[in-house]
Amino acid sequence: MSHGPSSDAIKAEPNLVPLLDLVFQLIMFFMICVNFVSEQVNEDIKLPVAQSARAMDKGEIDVLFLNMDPAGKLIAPGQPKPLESLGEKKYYLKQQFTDAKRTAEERGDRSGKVNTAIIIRADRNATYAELFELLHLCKEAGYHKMQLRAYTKTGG
Amino acid sequence: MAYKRPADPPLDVDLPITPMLDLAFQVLLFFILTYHPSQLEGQMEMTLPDAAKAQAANPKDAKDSMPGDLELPAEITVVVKTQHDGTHDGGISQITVQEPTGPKDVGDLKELRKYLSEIRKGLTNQNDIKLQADSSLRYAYVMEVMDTCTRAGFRNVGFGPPADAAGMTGEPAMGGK
Repeated sequence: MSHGPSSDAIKAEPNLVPLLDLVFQLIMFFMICVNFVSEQVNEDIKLPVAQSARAMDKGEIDVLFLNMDPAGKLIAPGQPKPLESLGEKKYYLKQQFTDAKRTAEERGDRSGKVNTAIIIRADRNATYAELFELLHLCKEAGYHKMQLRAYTKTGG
Repeated sequence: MAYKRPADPPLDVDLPITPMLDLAFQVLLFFILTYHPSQLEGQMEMTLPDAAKAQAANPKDAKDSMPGDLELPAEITVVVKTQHDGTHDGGISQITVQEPTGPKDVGDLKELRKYLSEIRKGLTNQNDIKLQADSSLRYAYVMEVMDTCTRAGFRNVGFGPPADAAGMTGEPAMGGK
């Protein structure tokens, strides 16, 4: 059975514009949601969970991130390898404090008061002794503002 | 007589949508592959000695401090012992609340919260509490105890030196808010 020759070939032209619109919408969504990993935040650190943890205060300008791995080693910005010994940690914190003090003085604050907030991101498997030691070192170095980071809900 | 030019036929602009769509799909794929929603992080704010002193209800009562000796004027201390059984190392084995009237053992964190909420009403200093744990207690549990204290109504949680570690002295003396 023959349909016979067709004189008018059907030209299918799908309308791609709405599809493009949709794709752009999706791209926009992912672009907004994308969370570029900060150099200072170590994604390997598994934080503990605290229900009473408050939402992060993004207004804090002077911050120093200190990541502590399960073995108690300090992963600090600007350091090629984790700081292991007490001396290394002490020296690093003191140096950072001196730099912050100098910066404060250069800004015009004659008292040189350091307002840097230490943000401690310690792994959930680190121990109390390691945390205590770090807090003690921070205090010795001269810092007085601290934050402990934790997940606000379980599942990680 | 002026010559009138006939109107041009309407220009049919045909934008090549397909390459643009190809590119858009590439970008979309990139974002989909790199997208991983990170868990929500929160903060437990702490204040070291000087600021804690400034927050004291009566600053005159707060003693002058040298780095390392200032402690929060907490009336009660939560002492947490850890396990050393080989399988649950670093977990909580015993929780004791040390108050002026004497020590009191509590079973678990739920009971601790209930107990702290009850005794807090009778305290002069209802903001400060000290936590003292064994050195090998895992940070996850430290945070759980700290969380329990905060939820019981205490605003500042100070950390004492590990109970079983000789030679670790001094108080980091900070308060969680």
